[in-house]
Amino acid sequence: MKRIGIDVGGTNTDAAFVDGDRVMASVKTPTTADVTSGVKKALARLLGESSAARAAQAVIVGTTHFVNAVIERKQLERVAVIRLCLPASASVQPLIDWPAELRDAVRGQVALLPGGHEIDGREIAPLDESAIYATARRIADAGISSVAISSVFSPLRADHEERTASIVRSVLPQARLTLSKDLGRIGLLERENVTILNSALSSLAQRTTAAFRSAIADSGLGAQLYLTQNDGTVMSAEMAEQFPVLCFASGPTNSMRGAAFLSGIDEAAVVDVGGTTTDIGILKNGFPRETNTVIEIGGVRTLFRMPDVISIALGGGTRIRTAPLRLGPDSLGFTLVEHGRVFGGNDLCTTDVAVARGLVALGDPKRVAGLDDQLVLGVLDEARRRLEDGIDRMKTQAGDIRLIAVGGGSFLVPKMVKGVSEVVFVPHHEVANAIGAAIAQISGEVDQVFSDLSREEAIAQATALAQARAEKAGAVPDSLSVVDVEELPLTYMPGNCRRVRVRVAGKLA
Amino acid sequence: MGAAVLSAGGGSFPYLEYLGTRELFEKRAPVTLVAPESLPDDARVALVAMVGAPLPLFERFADPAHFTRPVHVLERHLGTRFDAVMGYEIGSMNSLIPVMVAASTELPLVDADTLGRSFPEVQTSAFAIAGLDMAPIAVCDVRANDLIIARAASGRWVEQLLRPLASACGSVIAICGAHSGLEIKQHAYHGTYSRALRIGSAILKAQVEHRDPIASLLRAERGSALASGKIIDTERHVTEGFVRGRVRILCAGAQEAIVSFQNEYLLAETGARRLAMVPDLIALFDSERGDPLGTEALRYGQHVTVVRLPPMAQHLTAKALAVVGPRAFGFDFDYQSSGDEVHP
Repeated sequence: MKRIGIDVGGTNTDAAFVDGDRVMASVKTPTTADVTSGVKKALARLLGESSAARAAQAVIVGTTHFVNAVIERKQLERVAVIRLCLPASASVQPLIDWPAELRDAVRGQVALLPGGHEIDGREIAPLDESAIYATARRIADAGISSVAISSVFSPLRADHEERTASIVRSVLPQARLTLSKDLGRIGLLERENVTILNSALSSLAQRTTAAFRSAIADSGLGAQLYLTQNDGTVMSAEMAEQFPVLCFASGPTNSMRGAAFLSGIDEAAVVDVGGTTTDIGILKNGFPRETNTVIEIGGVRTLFRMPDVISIALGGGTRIRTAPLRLGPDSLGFTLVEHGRVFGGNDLCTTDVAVARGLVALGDPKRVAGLDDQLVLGVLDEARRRLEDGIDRMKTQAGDIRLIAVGGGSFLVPKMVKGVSEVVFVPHHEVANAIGAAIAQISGEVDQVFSDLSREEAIAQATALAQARAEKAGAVPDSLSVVDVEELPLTYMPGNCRRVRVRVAGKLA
Repeated sequence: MGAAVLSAGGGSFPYLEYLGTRELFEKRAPVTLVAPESLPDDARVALVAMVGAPLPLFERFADPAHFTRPVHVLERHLGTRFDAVMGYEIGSMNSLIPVMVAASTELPLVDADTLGRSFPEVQTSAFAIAGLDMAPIAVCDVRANDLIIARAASGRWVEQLLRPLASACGSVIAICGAHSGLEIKQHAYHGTYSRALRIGSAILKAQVEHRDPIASLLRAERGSALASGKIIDTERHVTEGFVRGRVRILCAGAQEAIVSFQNEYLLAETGARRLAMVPDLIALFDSERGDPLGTEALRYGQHVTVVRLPPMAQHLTAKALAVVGPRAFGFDFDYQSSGDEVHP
């Protein structure tokens, strides 16, 4: 299949055209304040390099647009929150631990109503339908059109959320609803947080996907639009429109997936050296290893599937100060091509040192010919030390592992690194993230409590459910494979209860 | 944070209960912590706890009103008013429930508990070891269901009666028992809230000041670091309602440390050498951040440090070791201390 991958980052918008297993063309363009025109520009240049890209059937976009909206508290809308829980769970109110300015931007109305389930599936209390109607009418009167609905143990039983949604829809036919059962793991507060964030982004998501669609159409492409999500897989534009929160971590994920694709290696460490920072992560089965801890987005606790990545202050633009020698932590950033010494400026940065050492050919090498050898070696030694430290922190085995180096600043990675058996450099490494977007797979996940089943039966049932979800999202059934299984027996529970999480992924149909 | 350490793996930082308590403190007067020694012999003290499984509390948040109800139910049953509130267990979320109840009832909180840490069953409580009558006990569901266990044959029977009740009510019940000032002075573990606060502030202060939180804790509590490395395997299985299992940690020099647990950490060993055993307080920490890790939070690849804090002197008597020593948890050896220190 012919695909175009686009990564809209903070500094650059990269695009790559991939046909089957081959990268046919790639471009790097600056990101524009208005994201859409940057995407159009990248597409125009890509089509200029390879007219065959016109035949692409899919354009897959990875974007930090939604996560930035949360972090910058911009373009968010007011949300009405309905939690079905009474008489339980009233002591910790929705949005209770959000940063004040974000809460003020998002909190429209909050209603706690009877409902929700016990861990064994019984009702905590029956739904109070007249109270739901009254709440819906209050939401309508307040002019709010985005509604987040959560319910206790809805990942186990979703019927209370679904019934409530249908009542709200009957009163507010135009409202955009997010149900926590669609976003979730066990953990009401975190699941509800994500549901509310999703509601707050729902109209931005509609505008953004519409803009991506028109950028594709304006470029004369007939391709289908997809967006990449946190776990290195894609979802249809329609899904992304409904669940923008799932796109939050696509940046580092895409570059790691791109590194796996370009190198053909499934188990390795990956360093992505950018202009300001270096991301270090671990590939497991060709996918980024994920964190197990609580992730905060813009100060809000979530239980997201996020790659386990550390960022260290080292990049191609990292500023160098002498006497005493110091690297960063600041970077010349996008002013590198203006202020960097090899580009005619007066500031000294890691790229200048790499040029002086002959590690990369950029700008005018004569401008750094007189650099002190001691200084050059000192800087590269420090860069090596930081990389080795970071890799060691991420490693999960005592032995040496392979390391794939990608990103515009990957010339800073030495060929021999402590704890690493081999450093792998790959062509097209500077647009690994766009390539990662182009090759993204479709996934399905289940995280649920099973009772009265053996461990094997529970995992088999969870796998079947995950496969059904992946197929529904557009995956080719035969290509699906299990990428993660996690099983946790539950203390004190009757009936041999266990919590099972299974994730499968496969090719886009 | 200190309570998470004292839970010895029974739980991690009780974030939701912390939020609930913080919310309560915005509406209520602060709670007064009183020394058990200051209680009159005939003081009536309400002992409270959550009984059940930790997982439902991630969805059904611990509600101060729910946990206060059995106190009033028992007051009506006994026809008397309580003078103070105390907790059965200082570990993890069960340390905050008495704080919530004390704030809600505006009664003072006794700086003591009956376990000194976390243990899985009622018979390990100091009151059960001393042979005190645990009944009557009031039990409340989150709905309008209240019960009284008027008499119980033994501490073990209290355990056997409460478990099915918890299951029937969504695996979370609130309980309240009644004990006198004299009983508490004679049998409870004193100063355990102060200890949890000390441990918590040693860790949190070091984290804020970017010093080593684990070193700071060890200094404050005369503990020792037993092993440090990466988790290479976590094994868990449920038997008789407990999570049993062990975690293998690959340390420097290819040495392997193994920590076994039954809800709480019980035994730390390398090769044939036993580094620490119950009732030593064994805790695992995230090596970098210094956060205590419950058994549920352990995962492959984590960098962890295994820590031993000295056991409580009261847990080392023959009578106590019979219920909290290695043999009580199915090991075929007697308790042997790997250090001279005891707490306090």
